[in-house]
Amino acid sequence: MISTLSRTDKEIIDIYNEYSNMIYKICYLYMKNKHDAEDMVQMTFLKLIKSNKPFVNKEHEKAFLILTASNTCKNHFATWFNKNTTMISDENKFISNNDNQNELLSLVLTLPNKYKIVIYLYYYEGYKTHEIANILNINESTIRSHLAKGRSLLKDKLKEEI
Amino acid sequence: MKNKQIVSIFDQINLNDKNKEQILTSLLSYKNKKSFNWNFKKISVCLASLLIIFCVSYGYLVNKPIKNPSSPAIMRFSKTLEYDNKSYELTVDNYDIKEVEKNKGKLLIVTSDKKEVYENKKNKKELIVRENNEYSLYTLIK
Repeated sequence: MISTLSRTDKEIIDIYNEYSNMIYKICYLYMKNKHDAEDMVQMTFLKLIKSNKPFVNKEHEKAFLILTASNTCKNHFATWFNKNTTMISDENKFISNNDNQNELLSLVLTLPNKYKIVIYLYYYEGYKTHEIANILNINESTIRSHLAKGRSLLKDKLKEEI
Repeated sequence: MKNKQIVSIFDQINLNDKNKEQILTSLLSYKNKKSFNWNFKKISVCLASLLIIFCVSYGYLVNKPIKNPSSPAIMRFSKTLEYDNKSYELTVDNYDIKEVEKNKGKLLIVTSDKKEVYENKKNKKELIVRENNEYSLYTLIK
């Protein structure tokens, strides 16, 4: 009867504890505010619960969650209302002792989504470009150009700030 | 910009423990409630399919397909009419509409030229034929 819910509570808790912060970071990059990001985290894990997909290894599991989180956030903005409504960004609510850090985070959040996610996966999660290409189903050369473009945009923005 | 700087930017973004707990609780409650919803959904889909099958078959049985016009049940259709291996002859042209309303029984057949043949409730030896909203009466030849 519970064929669609093959994962036990313990498995779900383990996966959640391991990846919730990573998923939250990805969702936050897209949503730019805590509340929407939390909703998206919930949606992502709901999709995991509903999915009966067996994972080959930990990396596969992680890649599934990254792609699901990314697609969930993109889908959120697919509706007319969400596309045409600007939420108040609360990036400054992350209290950091270092003001520079807060400014940098604000700058990263202003980058287009396609650059943000690639920068995050490359620098923070330590994925190689071909791995990011596999996860996001995008050409590897596109990933490299997104990385370069994202970096140059960040550089430009930093110069402007200074 | 150094890599370490970028890493430290993302380090700031963290889900606080209270919200993390709340999300997990709601996920687990959803998961454990889900089996009921799923069953309910499955049952309602089954019931809906059964209802559709019933409606389609009932509709088919009630409105039996009209006999094939090429069937030998009706052979000629002018002054005389052959239906169900019996011969009928035109007795009244422009059959009175008030009489039709009283006597018209069930539809027996529709001919290839779209004439409708009805039984006469009052007299089993007669047939009422409708053509272009005009009725005529056919009587069984002895």
